[in-house]
Amino acid sequence: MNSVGEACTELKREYDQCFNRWFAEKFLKGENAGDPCVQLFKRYQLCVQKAIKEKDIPIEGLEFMGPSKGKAENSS
Amino acid sequence: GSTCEAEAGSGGARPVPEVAAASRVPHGGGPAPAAGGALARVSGAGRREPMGKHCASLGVLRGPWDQVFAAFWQRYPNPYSKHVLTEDIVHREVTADQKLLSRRLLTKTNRMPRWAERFFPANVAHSVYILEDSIVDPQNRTMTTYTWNINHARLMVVEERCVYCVNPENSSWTEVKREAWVSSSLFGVSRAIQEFGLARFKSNVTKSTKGFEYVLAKLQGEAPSKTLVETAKEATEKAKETALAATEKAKDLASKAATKKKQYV
Repeated sequence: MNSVGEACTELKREYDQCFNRWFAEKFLKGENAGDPCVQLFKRYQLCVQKAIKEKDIPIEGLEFMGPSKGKAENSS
Repeated sequence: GSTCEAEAGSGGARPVPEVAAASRVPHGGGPAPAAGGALARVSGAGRREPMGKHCASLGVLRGPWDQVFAAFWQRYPNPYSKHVLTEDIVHREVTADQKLLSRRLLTKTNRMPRWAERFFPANVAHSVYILEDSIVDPQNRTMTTYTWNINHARLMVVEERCVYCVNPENSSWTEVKREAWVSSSLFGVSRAIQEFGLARFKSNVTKSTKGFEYVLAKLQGEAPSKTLVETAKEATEKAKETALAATEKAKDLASKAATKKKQYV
């Protein structure tokens, strides 16, 4: 799958490969020795965050998981 | 309520009762949910009308939770995702309590019916940017997602919340609870048009009646009473005030309809 920053697609692939392995083999099994993908992630983010700014994509200041809802919430 | 899937019973999905809808508050503030019912607004006559559209459904994925969560990150591309142009992780962290928080940015093609392209030509050229926030909790074997569009928002906002968990009837399967809301601030614009239209009509009725009385009195050979001449002047003044108030109210409604945050086409 392509990155929104054309130059970042390769960096994204490398990171995705590392992440998918760590996710299935370590994270889901509760083994959290540390994240082996930190460096790859940093390189990928440098590239993609730059592309996002250049394209004026408005991802800033948006609350994670959307606005809070008050009491009634169906997630864990 | 309606099921979120396009064909009835697809993927074993079934609609979920409207009860879940009461917990939601729309973006940018708005009327609080009416007790025990779907999101509603109260018109002057006390009628309740639902704002926007809602759907909910319960579905199943035929795989164990850990496989499903892993597949979630490898979803794109697939034969059904030709409309998805790019995919990027723009934030990721593991919390102190071992949950994975991620934010994924997707760009998708903006496919609109031809009539919508004619009404909203400015939107045609722009792809849609969508953010998908997610929390993966391997200890509880659940995943929660929240997905929404961050542009074209003045035209329409679509939000979706999903909760993935182990299927209670078959632990090698995964249950998906899905809820979505579709809303448009153009709804508020059409309310403003109606309010302004009614206010202007009422002021015209006043002018129409007074004018009629005036001419009638003249026909009856009477000089229109001093009172009628006076009230004619008053009517013109009152009409000006009413029109001004209606314009202010319409502006107010229209600006309330646009959300507070900066919006992109």
